[in-house]
Parts: sequence; structure tokens; C-alpha cells
Amino acid sequence: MNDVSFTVNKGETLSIIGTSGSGKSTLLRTLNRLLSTTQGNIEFRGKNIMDIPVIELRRQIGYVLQEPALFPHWTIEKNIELVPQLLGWSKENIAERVQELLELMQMPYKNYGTRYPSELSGGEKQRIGIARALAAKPDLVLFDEPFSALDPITRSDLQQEILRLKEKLKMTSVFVTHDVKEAFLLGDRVLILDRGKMIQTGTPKEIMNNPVNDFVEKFIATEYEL
Amino acid sequence: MNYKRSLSLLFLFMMFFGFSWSQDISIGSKTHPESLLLGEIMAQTIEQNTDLTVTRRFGLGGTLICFEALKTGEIDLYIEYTGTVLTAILKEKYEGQSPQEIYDYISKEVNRKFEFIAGKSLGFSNSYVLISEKKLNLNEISDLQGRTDLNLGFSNEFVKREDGFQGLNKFYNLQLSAPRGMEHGLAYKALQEGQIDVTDAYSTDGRLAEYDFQLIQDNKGFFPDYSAFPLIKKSTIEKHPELSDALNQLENILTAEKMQELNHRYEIDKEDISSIAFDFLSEQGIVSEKPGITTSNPIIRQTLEHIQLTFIATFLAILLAVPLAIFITYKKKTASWILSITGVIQTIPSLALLGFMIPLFGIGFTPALIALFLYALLPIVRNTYTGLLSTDPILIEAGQAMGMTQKQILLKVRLPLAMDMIMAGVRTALTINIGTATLAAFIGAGGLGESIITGITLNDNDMILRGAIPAAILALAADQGMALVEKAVRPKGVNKD
Repeated sequence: MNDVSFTVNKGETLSIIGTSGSGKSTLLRTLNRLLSTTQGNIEFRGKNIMDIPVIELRRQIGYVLQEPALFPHWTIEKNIELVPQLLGWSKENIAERVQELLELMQMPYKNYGTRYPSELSGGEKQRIGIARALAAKPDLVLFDEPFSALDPITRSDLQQEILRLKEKLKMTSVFVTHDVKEAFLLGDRVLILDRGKMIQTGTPKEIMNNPVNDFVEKFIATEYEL
Repeated sequence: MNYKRSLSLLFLFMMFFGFSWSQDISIGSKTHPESLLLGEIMAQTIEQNTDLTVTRRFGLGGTLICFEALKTGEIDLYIEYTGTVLTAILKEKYEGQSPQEIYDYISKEVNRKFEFIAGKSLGFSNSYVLISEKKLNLNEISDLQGRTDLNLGFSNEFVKREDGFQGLNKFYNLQLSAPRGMEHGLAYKALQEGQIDVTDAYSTDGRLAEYDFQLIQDNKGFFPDYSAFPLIKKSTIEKHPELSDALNQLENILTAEKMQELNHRYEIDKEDISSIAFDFLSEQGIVSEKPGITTSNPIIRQTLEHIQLTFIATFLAILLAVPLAIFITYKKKTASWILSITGVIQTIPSLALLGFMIPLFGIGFTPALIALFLYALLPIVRNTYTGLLSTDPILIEAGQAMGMTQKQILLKVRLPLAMDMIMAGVRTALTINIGTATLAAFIGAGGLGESIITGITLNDNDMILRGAIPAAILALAADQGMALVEKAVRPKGVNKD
């Protein structure tokens, strides 16, 4: 991975798209130090992430995985409260936050709080995955192709959900996907990767109007034809 | 579901603490019939002449095992023979001392070295004797001098022992050539059929009465005296002084002929050991009540001992095996090493492993516990290791990404998810141990193996089954009990078939 440089502003969503093997997940994982960089700097809130203890850094950054990866032996409530627990929030604050998040996800506590992940549908699980990532009110949320395993209807519902959350929470996020439509829909700005290189970055409009090369043009075009 | 949980909790509780079981006086014996009979005679005497309760720990391997058991306090007393103490325990040479001199010497030495008290002699001596057909007119061992025409057939042990043929030949200057060694049990028959002319025997052997052989007198006194007497732990006598008075009634109560008759009733007529002892003691006016109701049922004691031994061993194995498995999950290089070592331990035959324990830990409960502990390691290490490795990697990544430390991921995610797998390992270990523990009786650890081993030495199938059936039931019950535990610890919300 070379020649990648970008900034995500507060309250903004940056979509990263690219073909498989383009390095988009790799790039995302360097942000919370699941992978480490060999060269270059990454700053979080003006501070080099290497200067922040890794555990502390990760607790400040939400992370939504491709599979929901909920802990199967924990109830929904326990899954959501993980990071606040780790951060040592008070019991009352945690309980309140869980209620609030389940409300936000339209999965009321009384119906879902004490259930286990295996009792939920794929879409419901991923909503809980998002709730878990948001639990400790992180300054940044990373999405790693969170909807790729879902059926088109559920995916579309969840995309709307993200738009709603952006609106409501002023969430700052980086959203990795291989779905151009999704990237353009959710991203305030879009970053296009190919084989480990950053090809173009800009608002969806800028990219659609001025693709920098044939690759971008074709990439956008094929997706829209489908 | 709730009762199942409490059942499994109870089961775990039993496992963690085992049972304690104690009696006032514990009497041991070696495996040969005379030793068992005399043990029973002492038991009834004590039961009916004191308020003490008695535990019978009969059939403990050989001399050294009984002696070790007395040292460790596993038993309080057993019948020993003066000559055996002199040669086998004190490892001294017999140099023609009189029976009284031997007795005085060894009672002083066992008190000084081991804090044991030698009780009063029962009156008879069970020593090596040589026997022949009467028509050969061999009355004294001296008569054998130069008789190279005789066909000698001695037991294998006697041929080899320095206080057997080798020493005898020199001591009497018999000038005989090395005899044929043979199985002791066959010698009587061979002698009767004229295939051999002379063999060795024990003077009180019950089977001797079956035949009309000539006892060849040890006229120069080559064999030490083997007078039977109770060997007692000093601390036991100090605690229960009435024990001495009870046992003193047995002084000089038996002749070699009487002992031989009792042995015959037990070995050949297969009479019940407690009836033989009762008949004899009531004739002497020492006991009056027929025992049987008052004696505690050994099956219950043996079963409890069995449970205690196997459960504690398995519990201790968990304490080592689980941390070890966690360690090798993070140190892949040592994993194959640890798994191989525990695997090799598993392949050591049970009896051999128990044998290795004796020089290191003596006999009784502790060495058996350690051997069973070692056997339990492999299944638990292997299952824990496999269980931990089977954590879905994406869950580990999720944990990391949420900012969990490695320790938190282990304790909150990996271990809980592996718990039923770990318990399955414990279940295997426990079940194997219940089977293996039947061999622990060989080294005096008690348990259901006692009945099995005594049954084998006496060729008594009923007695073998009295040990084998409860052991089988125990294994099945433990297996089912652990299945409940396994279910109870299975993480909720995880679907497994």
C-alpha cells in the first residue's frame, strides 16, 4: 500500500471503495492499529496514533465488522455494553445507554435485551453490531463492509439506518465497501483504491462528473449498469 | 433445568472436596491367606474387647507395602514375622540367634527406628521347612549331606535366596548341586507323584495337611525363627492403651498345627474368613458374639475411598492442566512438547506407573493420587487446548477491535466458549481414573480394587465382582454426572448439536 493520504473531517463519512484485493480493508485496519504501518503517519484528533496506547485508541474508535461477530455466549445487552464496561462507566449510565441504543436501532430492550445473537436475523445482528460500535460514543466509527453478507432488502434498510444515524448523531465514520452505489449513497466523500494505490478522492458528484481515468470511469459505469 | 443445575453443582462439590472417612483402628494384612486370617482374628478381638471400631485393610501387596503403610499411618497394625523383620526390613543376616533373641532384638529396633511396637508373639512360627516322602527316611537336614542321588525341586524364590538353598547348602555342607526351580504350587503334586524327592514349604501351609509328607528338621538351626506377632504403630497404642490389653489375650494362642488347620479351612475348604476367626476365638473364650452385623460393610468404605481418590486426583489435574493448556495456546512451540509428554505419561502401563511411585512417595493414598493425577492430565490439556484454538478468529478480532486486552479476550470470550469442551476432557479423565484406580489397592490406597485383588489371590469370583460391579456403576454415574456438568457450563446462546 503506497501513496495514500486523506483526511476525514468531523461529522463526515468517507467511503472507501475498490475491487477486491485493492487494500481497502487493510487500509481501514491500520486506523485502529489492528494492522500496523511500516511508513507514514496516521493522526487521530491531532495526535499520532502510535503515541496513544493501543487499547485506549481502540476503545475510542467504533468498529463494525463484515460478519457481525457478536459474542454468541452473551445477551444482546451484554454485547452492546462491552466497551462502556471496559471504560468503567457506571451501571446506571450503561443501562441507560443500552436502552437508548436499542431504541435508536428500533429494537426495544424489552423484546431484545435478554436474547442471544443466535436468536436474531442477519439484519438484526448487524444492527446490534452497529449499536455495539456506537455504545461508548466514539469519535470515529469504522465500517468494514458491514452489509456485504446481507440480502438486498435488508441491506437497503440498513443503509437508510446509517443515513439516519449520520443525521442524528453527527457521526464521523470511514465506510469500506465494494458496492459503488452504497459508497456514493453514504459517503460525503469517496476514496477510490486500486491495487494498493489511491486513484481518486472527492465528493460523489465530483467523481461522477470528472473521473480521473478510464479505470474510475469504467468502475463507476459497470456498477451503475447492474 | 434448575434441579439439573443443582445436581451438577452438588456433583462438583463432591468432586472438589471428596469425602473424609475415618475409623479408630485400621488393620492391614498381606495378600497370603494366613495374613488375612490373622488380621481378621485381631479385628474381632479388638471389636469385642474394646469400644474401638475397626477398618479392615487386607491384602496389601507384600511385606514392604504393609510396612510402608504402617509408617505412613494408613494402617495401625498388621501381622508380621520376626525373621522377616530381621532379614527383609532391617536387612540383617541371621547368625544363629534364638527365637527369643531375634524377637527381643527386632522389637527394640523397630521401636528405635520406626516407633513401632512389637506385640506379644501369637505362639507359632511359620518358617521354611523342607519336606519329602516319608519312605525316604529323611528326618533332619543333615541327612541330606552328599545325597546327590536325590531329585531336588525347590520353589524359584528358594533357589535364588541367600537364606534359601544357597545358604543352606553351605551352612550344612550338603555338597549338593544346584536344584531345579519350579512353581511352588506344583511342587506338592510333583513330590507326591515321585517326580521330585525333596522340596521347600511354609510350615503352616494349609495344603500340607492334605498330604502325608515327612518334615525334615532344621536340626542345626539354619532358618531364622519366623514367629508371628502384631506390629503396631506406637502412636496408636498411646492413643488407645486398651488395644494392648485386647491383643495380649492372643499371646501364645496358636500352635503351628492349629494355624495350619485354620489355613486349610480357609484355603481348601473355602470357609468364610470371619466364621473361621470367630470359631477359633470363641473356643478360646475371647469373643462371644458372632460378627457380621457389627462390622462395617467394606463396599461402602471402598466406594467412598474410590470416589475420594479419583475426584481429588482429577480436580488437582484440572488445576494444572487448564493453565498449562492456556500457556501452550499462546506458546505454540511448547504445545507439541507438552502434548507429547502428557501423551507419553498416558501410555505408561498403570501398574508400572504405580510401581514407580513407591520409591518416590511410599505407598497408600498419596502415590496413588499422584499417579491418577498424571493420568488425568492428557485429556484435560488436550481438550482445553483444542477448545481454546477453536475460538472463531473473527471473535478474537472483534474483541481486539473493541479494545479488550489479551487477558480479557481469554477470560471473557475464549474460556467461556471452550468450557463445555474442557468439561468433556474432565469427564474422560474422571472416567478413566475410576477404572485405573482399581489398581491402586496394590499399593495400599484402598478403593474398590481391594475386593478385586483379594478376590484374585483367593480365586474368589464373588469377591472380584463385589469390587468390579460398584466400580463399573461408579464409572457410569460419573460419566452421566459429568454430562450434566458439561451441559450446565455450556454457554447459553451457543447452539451445538
